[in-house]
Amino acid sequence: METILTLTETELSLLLALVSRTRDDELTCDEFLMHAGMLAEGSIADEAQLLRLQQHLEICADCPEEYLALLNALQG
Amino acid sequence: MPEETLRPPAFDEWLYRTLASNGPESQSAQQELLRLLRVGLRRSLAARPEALEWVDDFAQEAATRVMRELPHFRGASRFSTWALAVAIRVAFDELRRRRWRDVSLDALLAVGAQVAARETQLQEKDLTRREILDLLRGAVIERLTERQRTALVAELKGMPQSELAQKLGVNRIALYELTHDARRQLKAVLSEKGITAETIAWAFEPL
Repeated sequence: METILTLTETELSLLLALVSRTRDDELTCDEFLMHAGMLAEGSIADEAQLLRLQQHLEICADCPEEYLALLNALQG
Repeated sequence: MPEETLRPPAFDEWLYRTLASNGPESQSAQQELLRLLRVGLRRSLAARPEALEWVDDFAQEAATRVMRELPHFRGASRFSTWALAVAIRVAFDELRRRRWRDVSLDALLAVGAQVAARETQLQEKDLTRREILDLLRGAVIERLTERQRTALVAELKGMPQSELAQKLGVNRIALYELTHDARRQLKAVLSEKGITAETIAWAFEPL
């Protein structure tokens, strides 16, 4: 399967954006999930940890949708 | 207790303690957990009314997962918030799977090929931008494994991680590590050529 030929310009630009935001010490989705409650409650004091959580939201395709749903549920 | 109440005061500690103790009140605590998850899931799925009919199923599955992951709860957030986050992961993963399970990787990538050919003819790009994209395209071909390429391309085309992980026969953590490693390699290639995040932001603004 030759996958690279299927990348559109738009998708390549998106990949570039993701690559430029990539860090060595990223959180996995499960690590983000373990801290999502604290983030939603605004109880994270450690700025470095806060930045890592925010970076995951910028890089991950699925977690932002779930995090927004969590915020909606808590505010509902 | 009214069904619509999501987070009664002073409820979380009792719920967590009782669930964790597996004592005589554990049964009623599990019912409270289910009630909590149903209410929370209804709220979290308010924008997707078509999914509300499955709330009970999602809540059941989520309660099982919450019980399984109970030892990982560290008490840094309220227990109900943590449990709800887990339940939302369960529900959204399932919804994504239902939407994507019949989409094969071959079909997904084939559709992209047709669109790619059309876009190349229609779009005219700035030279710097073109050079960066060509470099990135080349790096994807030369530096990544076929498995890394497949994972990255499928993600870019919108396939959810849970579904993609299943199709590739790995778990979600392993998939994330696969694509993270791929992105790091691509970033290193750009860096070798002197292309920094600032260069990219300048060339592609607004990105």
